Amino acid sequence: MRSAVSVILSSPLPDPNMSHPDYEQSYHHHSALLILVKHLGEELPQKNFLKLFDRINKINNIKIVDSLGVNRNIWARYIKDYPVGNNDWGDFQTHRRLLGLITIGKCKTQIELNEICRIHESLKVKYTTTLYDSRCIILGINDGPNTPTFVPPSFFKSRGLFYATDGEESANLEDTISEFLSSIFWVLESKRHERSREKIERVSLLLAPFEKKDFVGLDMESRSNRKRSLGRMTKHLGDLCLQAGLHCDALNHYHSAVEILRSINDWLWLGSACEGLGAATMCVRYPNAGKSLSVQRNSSLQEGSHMKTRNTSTKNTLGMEILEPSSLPALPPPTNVLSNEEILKAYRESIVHYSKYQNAGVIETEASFKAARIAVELNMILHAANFLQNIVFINLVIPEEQKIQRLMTLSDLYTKMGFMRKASFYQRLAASRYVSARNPQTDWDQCYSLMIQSLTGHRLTLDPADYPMNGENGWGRLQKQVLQDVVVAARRVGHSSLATRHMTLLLQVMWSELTHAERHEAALQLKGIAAQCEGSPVPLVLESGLVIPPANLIHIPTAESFVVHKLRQHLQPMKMEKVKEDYGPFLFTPLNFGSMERKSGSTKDSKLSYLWVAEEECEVKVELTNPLPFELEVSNMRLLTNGVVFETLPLTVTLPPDAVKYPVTLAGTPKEVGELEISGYSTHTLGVKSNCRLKNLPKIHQSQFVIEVVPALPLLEAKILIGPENEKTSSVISLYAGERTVYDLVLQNVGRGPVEVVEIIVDSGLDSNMITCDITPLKDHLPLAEDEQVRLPVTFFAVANFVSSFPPDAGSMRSSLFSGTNSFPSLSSSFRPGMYDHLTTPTPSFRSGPSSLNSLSSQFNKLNIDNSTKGIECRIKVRYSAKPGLDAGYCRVASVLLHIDITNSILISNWDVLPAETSSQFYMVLDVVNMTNQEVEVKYTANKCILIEEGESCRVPIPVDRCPLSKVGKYFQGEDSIKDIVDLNLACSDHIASLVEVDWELGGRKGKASLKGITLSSHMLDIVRMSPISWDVHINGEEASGAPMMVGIGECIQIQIVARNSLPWPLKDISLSVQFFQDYQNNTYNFNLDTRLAMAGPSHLHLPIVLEHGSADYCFNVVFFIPGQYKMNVQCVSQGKNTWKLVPPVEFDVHDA
Amino acid sequence: MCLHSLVIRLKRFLIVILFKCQVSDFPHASVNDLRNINMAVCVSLIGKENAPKYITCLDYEKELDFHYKIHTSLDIIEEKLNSSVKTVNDTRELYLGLLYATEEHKIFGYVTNTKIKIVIIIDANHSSLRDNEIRAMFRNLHAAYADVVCNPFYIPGEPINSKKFNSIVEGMMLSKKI
Repeated sequence: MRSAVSVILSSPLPDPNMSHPDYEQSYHHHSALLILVKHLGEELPQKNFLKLFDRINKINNIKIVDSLGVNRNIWARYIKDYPVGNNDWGDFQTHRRLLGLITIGKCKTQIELNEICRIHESLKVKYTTTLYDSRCIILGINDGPNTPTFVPPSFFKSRGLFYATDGEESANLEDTISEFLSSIFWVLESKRHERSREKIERVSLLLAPFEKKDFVGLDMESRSNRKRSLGRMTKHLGDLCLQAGLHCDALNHYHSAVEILRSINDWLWLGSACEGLGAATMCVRYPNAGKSLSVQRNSSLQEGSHMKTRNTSTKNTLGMEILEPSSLPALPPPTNVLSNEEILKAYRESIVHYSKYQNAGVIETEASFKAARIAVELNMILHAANFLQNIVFINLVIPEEQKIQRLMTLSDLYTKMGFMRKASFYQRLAASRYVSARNPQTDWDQCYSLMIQSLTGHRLTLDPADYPMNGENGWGRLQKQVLQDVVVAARRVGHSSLATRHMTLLLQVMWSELTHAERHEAALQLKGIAAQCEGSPVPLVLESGLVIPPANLIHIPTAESFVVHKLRQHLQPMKMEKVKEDYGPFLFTPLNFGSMERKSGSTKDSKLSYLWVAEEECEVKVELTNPLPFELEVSNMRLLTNGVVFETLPLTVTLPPDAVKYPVTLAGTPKEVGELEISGYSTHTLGVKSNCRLKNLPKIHQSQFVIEVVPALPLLEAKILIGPENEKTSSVISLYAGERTVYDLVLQNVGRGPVEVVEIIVDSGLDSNMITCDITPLKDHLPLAEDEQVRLPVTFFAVANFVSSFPPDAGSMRSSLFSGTNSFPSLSSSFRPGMYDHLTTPTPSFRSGPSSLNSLSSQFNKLNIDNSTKGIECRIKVRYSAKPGLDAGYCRVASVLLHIDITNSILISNWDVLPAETSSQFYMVLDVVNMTNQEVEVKYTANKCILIEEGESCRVPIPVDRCPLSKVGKYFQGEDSIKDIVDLNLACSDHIASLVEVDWELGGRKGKASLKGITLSSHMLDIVRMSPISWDVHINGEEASGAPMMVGIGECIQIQIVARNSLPWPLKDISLSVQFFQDYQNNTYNFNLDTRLAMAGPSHLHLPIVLEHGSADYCFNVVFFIPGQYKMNVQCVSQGKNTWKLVPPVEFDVHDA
Repeated sequence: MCLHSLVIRLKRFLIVILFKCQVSDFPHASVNDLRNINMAVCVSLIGKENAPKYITCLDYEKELDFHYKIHTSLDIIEEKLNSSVKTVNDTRELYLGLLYATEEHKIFGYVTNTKIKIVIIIDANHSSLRDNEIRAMFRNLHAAYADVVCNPFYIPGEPINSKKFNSIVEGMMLSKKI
């Protein structure tokens, strides 16, 4: 808009006359009467003056009916100061003329009164060229009896208004002012009439102040100059009509003035006429719109929703568009009213014309502002922006202060338009002007406050909470700059706490925008500022009432992870009684049963599943990254918590330069019971205290952690003392298989308060017999006071399998036992008399026999594979508790983890059974192998011991009671099923295991080897279990004793055998048989005795059934022919399966008669 | 998760291709035309939320100055967008014309239908510049931006860092240096 013409046309000398632009001017001021209200004297306080001014200011409109009966709407504009220079432009635009003067003063004495009057008169002189009328309001005198009466001095020629006070006594002030206004109006009206009646030929040339010398010596009578005079006068008349309330007349005048002035290229006045045209049109179309609308616009500012409010106000404006021109109701609606676009066009034209004159800079500026305001009101924002854009290019020589004022007005208008960015830009510009080198009085306070105001336009606020966590938020590059400037301003203001705060904010919210180098620089800067005043996370309240929310250094250092740790194992609280959690039938299900459950699950997301204990130090592990290339000292790091009282332990850590994920542990002690919310941590670094809330930390996705704190619990320490004196703490115990030893379990109360409840649970994995704890001493010691200890004996028993896992090799045993025997009796008649003689004492025949050795060593080699130490992990858990945790149902567990190494001691590599001399016993024959590397003494019966060398094996017989019928009798009924056989085997095996234990001793250590797990073949079973048949043998009527019967040759001996069925059921298909034989004591038996004896009666008896507890009687006679020793075998076969024999066989010692 | 984002990207890819077809329907200024009219001193692309996605200028010393100019021009763009009445079936004119002029520069604006703003600052001395030529520049930029978005590895909303885009923009600014 501004063209280079301005430079050519304008004189280089600036005109000092008009140096006070009025940025607040609006179009409706064109129609207002300008009245100066001046405060005089010291007596009246400023506050009272302002109050009076406000009262006067309200009387800005009067309605006057003129001589033609037309209603005139007269507006007044009150100002407090008016430079004479501006008054000089009164000819150019009459609204710039000061028409009225009101002075307000207060006095008590005559002298003061005189002084006030004098100043009033001098003001009158100052504005004498334009002033129509004046009033002097004097308070405190000449009003009623209560006030002193003074006489105004003689030179005082104005009307004085005297009031006692500015309160009730001055009630008629408003009326007086109205009257004053109307008096001015009438003067104005008369002037207007005067002017309008002037003859066209005689009109004088009106001049703008700077034009005066241009027209000196020119021919004023020339045609063009006459037209010039006429045009200017017409325009002048338009001005007067506008002020006098005749808007339509004014419009007509302006129209004709524009035409005249355009024809003679009188640019300056043409501009003025155009402006007048625009203003008049606005006045015609919106006669009452001016003030109210602008107020509404202002109010919309604070809400920030400019667009919306603007649109609604636009509707108002549009609605008023057809308002009838109130001033001239008689006249038809003027046809020459401009449209909205035309108004702005007129203004634009006037501005273009003004711009041609450098001296009219102020006029141009004001016109631009007026045009912008009109455009805003007409909702033609882009036009307004154009007008405002033009203003900054107008080169005005004005003081810095007014330049700032101009910028501020621009900013205000842009704000009204909703151009927040522009507004902020100019605010910043104004702020920088306050402190620019050209400004003689730098004012950092103003600068700072403007800087703060300009934040909004850059989408910045002082509250870090307003910034979104991620995503773009405005123009980072500029925001950085703006915040940096705010820091500088705050620093220069001298408010270092503010500077610290802003710098912290910069580092918090602009972190992602800052480059590495900038971060470094900013951090160093912050360190420097904070050295003067430490930053702390509390809101700062400025004197202006502005509250600056806290900012935190959440990125220095950066938290990479934040993990709330469980208590260590032995400190963790446990529920005394575990409530069985119902997981449903599935191990895992993606379904959530019940919507309620799901809801509660999602809300309590942050609640941790584990527990903390009151009075117990709890930990949170944080990983910190130092983003700065220098060593960062972070001191006083603490946890931030809500809920229960939590005592945090401050931590100071020094992060190496550029450290990544530096682990840090924050600890604290909950002091109460309940829910503890952990919401973040606080730091003190670079001189700034910060509260880093988890929700603000970008890398931590949980906004807080909630953990349950349970009541305090005692603390026990449990340990096992081993060694000969029970003095050594150890978790490794080594035992020989079968060894039994007792160590002390020491429970020591190392916590606070007594332990009231102790419960010991042994978890030994395989065998529950392995560890047994005697808790009887405990009862005497409970409750266990602080620092006291209790010792409990714990018995360790090395449970092991002594029986070789290989199946018993009875054949090899037998062959080794009876090596060289070919005529081995059949199983059914297996009868080895005198066997025990060999077995009771080890004979060289099988201790050193080559065959037996071979077979044994071969077995032994196989066993060696298994000769390794067996390790067993077991655990002794001590559950204990005390008040108050006990009441809440919590306990702690102290556990002792033990590793028990079991070394093989002896091993039963092979076994067999042999019948004993009596029917109630049998012999268990065992091959015992010494698996240790020492000599072992094995005690296998009550008084029989044997030493076994390292790695040697030894065969021992052990007499064992046979398995009674009460245990195995039931298996005789039917032994057909596999299960029965297995069960029978088990029953017999258990019977043996319960009776036989091989004691061993090894260098002072003792143990027992059990035969548990021994397996028996069917022929062994027959020996092991008690025979169901009991025999009664009567010889010659006498019951046979164990001793051999003395019988003579040829003597007939009657033998009666009664076989009794001791089973509770009948035995069927029984055959009894008798057989005589001779035993040569060298494993040779002679059954062929036909020539040596004769039997009378059957040698076999078959019975179909023997009833339960019944008996079978069997009688025969026998005669021996040759002397010698004879034996009689009696056996009973049931159903061809089971064979029972009379043991031992009956012996006969036959001698010569 | 990964698959899901891939699907989204593919979808976007198709949409952008459709969109590109529309763009290519515009009367296109040929690349040769552009060579003669390069006089932009600053080119910027501004995202939906009025944060810059791409900005480059000839004179790096004045970078902040350009930033301010573009930033304040957003006010005018927004005003223009608000005031322009959209007819139902008619697409809005994307070219916004001259936003404002300073003594040194002229600032032109263009807004895509997805509210991506393109602002070009032209040296005011190039008075010979025709409106048509400026439109052509914008259209080329728009097409280049569409190419950038087509890249399935570009996440919308992130600053643009594409060699191809850079070379196109540099082409617009280059001739002043020569």
